[in-house]
Amino acid sequence: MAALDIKGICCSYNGKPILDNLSLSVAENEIMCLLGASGCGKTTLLKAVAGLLPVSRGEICIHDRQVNGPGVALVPELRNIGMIFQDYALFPHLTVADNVAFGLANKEKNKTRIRARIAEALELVNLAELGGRYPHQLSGGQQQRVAIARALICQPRLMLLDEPFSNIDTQVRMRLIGEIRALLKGQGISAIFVTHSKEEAFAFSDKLALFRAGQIEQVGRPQTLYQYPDSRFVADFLGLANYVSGQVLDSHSVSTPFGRVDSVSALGQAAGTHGQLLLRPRQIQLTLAEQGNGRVLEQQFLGSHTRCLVECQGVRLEVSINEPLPAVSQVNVSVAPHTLTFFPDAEVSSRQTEPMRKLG
Amino acid sequence: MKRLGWTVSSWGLALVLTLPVLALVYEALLPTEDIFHHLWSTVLPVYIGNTFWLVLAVMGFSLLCGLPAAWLMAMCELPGKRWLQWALILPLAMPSYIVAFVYTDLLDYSGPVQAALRGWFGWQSSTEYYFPPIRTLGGAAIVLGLVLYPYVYLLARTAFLEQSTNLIQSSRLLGCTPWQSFKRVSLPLARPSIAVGLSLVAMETLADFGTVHFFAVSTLTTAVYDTWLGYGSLNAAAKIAAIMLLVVTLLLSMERMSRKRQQVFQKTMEHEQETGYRLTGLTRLAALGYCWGLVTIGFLLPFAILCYHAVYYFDQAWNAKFFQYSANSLLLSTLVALLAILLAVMLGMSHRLKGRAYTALPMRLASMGYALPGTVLAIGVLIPLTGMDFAINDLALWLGLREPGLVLTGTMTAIAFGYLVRFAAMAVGAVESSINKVSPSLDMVTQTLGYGPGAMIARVHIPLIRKGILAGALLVFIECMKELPAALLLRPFNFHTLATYVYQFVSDEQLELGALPAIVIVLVGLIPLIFLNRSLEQHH
Repeated sequence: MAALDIKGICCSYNGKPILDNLSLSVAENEIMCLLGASGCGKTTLLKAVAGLLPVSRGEICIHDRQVNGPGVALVPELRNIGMIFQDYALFPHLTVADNVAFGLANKEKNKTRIRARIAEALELVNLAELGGRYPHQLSGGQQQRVAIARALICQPRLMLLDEPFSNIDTQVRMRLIGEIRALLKGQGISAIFVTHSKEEAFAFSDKLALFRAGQIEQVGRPQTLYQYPDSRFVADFLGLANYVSGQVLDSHSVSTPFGRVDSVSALGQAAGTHGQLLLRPRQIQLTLAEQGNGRVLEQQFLGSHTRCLVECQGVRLEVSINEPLPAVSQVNVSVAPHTLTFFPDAEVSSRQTEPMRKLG
Repeated sequence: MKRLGWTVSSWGLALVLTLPVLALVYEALLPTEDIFHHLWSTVLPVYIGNTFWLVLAVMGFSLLCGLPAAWLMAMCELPGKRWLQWALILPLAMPSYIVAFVYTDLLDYSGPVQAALRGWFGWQSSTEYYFPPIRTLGGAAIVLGLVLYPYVYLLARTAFLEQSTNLIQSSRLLGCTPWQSFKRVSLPLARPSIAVGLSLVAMETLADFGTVHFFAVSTLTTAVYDTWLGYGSLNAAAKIAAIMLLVVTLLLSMERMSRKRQQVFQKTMEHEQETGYRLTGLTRLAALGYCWGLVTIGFLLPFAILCYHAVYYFDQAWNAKFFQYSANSLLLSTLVALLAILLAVMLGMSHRLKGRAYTALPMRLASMGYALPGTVLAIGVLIPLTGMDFAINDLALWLGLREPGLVLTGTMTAIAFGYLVRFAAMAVGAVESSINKVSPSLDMVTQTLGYGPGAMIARVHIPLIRKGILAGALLVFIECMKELPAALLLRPFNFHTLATYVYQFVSDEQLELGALPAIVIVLVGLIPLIFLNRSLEQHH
């Protein structure tokens, strides 16, 4: 049984279509990330699932219960969904404890039991001491945990998180992501999480759906999307990419301006096909060699790694290396062994609708 | 101490403007004269009671009118909302005494409504049926509520609009129906704003003179007026005015407190217009009927009646008096507006040059007058000015000159000074807020470029705050055009402003003849509402 099943939904805002025939499925206890630039419809999808926005066509089922469909539009208060907003949306006129208890009002009348459940929920998010405070007296991270406790107390089986980490300091962000991920997993809750940051997406999600203009470009495990993108859009969105034009030699190799590059597994492209070879900065290796085929144009020391711009046979490549090279160095450029990603030219021209950085 | 001149003159001016309040307090602390004792043991308790119930009833009624309208405008989709949300503030332009007159005319025994009812049912006299009397405390409360509810409407609407959509959506996802969400989230969050609106309503009610006087409902305001004009006792009038001053202080502190809470509750988060509840069928009809009903009763109907009278009695109204009194009002208002803005620039610049917290104090002092009800202020102005008039005449006598007469209270000086005290706050506020928007680094850069303070003000500040200066002057001008109670008490003999002229027609029950000047007052009152609306629309 899927936690959430979306079939071909359409949403529009002020007459402008935002979501266009979109389908997506989230499995039980899975964390799905919706990644995309702002204004691409991620938040709209979240609000459509929550019942906060009207859906003009298509179906939404939550745990096999249809909540949107022909003639069906369940009001938000009956969907049993937890939602964390970007600004946490804590009620400023209520204490932390009252905020957490807010959703129990219609479900639980027994005061002792309510108190016990507040304590339990606050314990869960490590805020047991702060029940008497008001939201404006808390830090951003604490406010967010209150928002989570408030959602958890209603025992939702699906949690929606809208840019939950965007207001958190970078120093604590990754730790918080780990904590919340563990919490959701521990409670057996499925979650959909919206972000525009790929780092957050990689760290938080089981599965990643990359959005582009109201549609999903590719869904899958984060590593899969990073390593084997279906399109240059996905490749570029998830990290720096070099494209080197080349021609398929046989099932396992491509010829490029700087020589033959071998793939660990089959390319799946017919020999002779022209196209672009995707090379991530980490997949290129440099070795110092006075007679090398490449020349270092520029280096930036970034602490954990060094960004290096290399020219090799008329092709400029972004390379990431550990330690800076001596100034003005001649290098040998090679490709680390891996499964190559190759985009045939025909596909590139049909897919490429946005201007992209040309490195090759 | 190059800037001593600025400091001395700004403190001096501020103190002159606080003179009426100081005089009131001083006079109130003097031994009590018999008249006050007499009033205190006879009618005053009743007046206090009337005032209390009136304020309470007006607050209740304006809440009843303003709050639902605010919620509908902020949260629902309605056809014609763009117009409606503006039209709902129109009653604010209507002087309450005009509305009072119009409805008395309509609903009295001899009015068309009761006459029609009698004709319909064949009744012969008032003993045969019951019709709620309008010339009562309740009637006054309804009339005042009708023109004052926009305060509650405006503040509540802004509060609802500034509540984050996320909060409402959150409450829905946590299991609230729209009604529960209103009760548990929207309303508690808007409460401080509503309290601010209600305290403004209370202050306006307390200050109202025209309506209660016309309806012969005795309140503290009419008591001040009658004690001065009837008994000629400044001391007793000052004591009653001091009681009102206490109430005003109370209301003001309530307003201040609410504003503070408002800041915590309204952190102006994004409000996207997507929660708009779509009303359909009967609910939509009821909502539209409710809002347009308010606009019609509070503005459109009285205004239409005024227009009808103005056209019908045009020949009688279009006369030399109308021109004379219009000119009086125009001249007086322009004079006061200029003085107020000069003063405001003076105080604002003086504070800007010094830049310390305490240098803002003259501005606060100069703004105190705004909270004073017109009658209270008038008494406060009369105390020092009559004193000075006597002193001047004594001095002339001592010097062997001819007595100059009442050079202060017998001329436009008193009324102009009174207006200045009452409305300086608006000019000061306008100038202060626009000068605060000028970045302090501009001052520093001007000084490093070699300009002294005078040149800096003339070449940098004044050009940058031109709009604020204009707006401030306009606001003062408009308020002066509308002011009634202070004018009634401070005007020289045989001198009329448009407002007192219109009020005379109202109290003679002949507003038909005064409809033309009344329309002028209403139209002048509309100007700030247009500004208000524009600034609101820019906000959202």
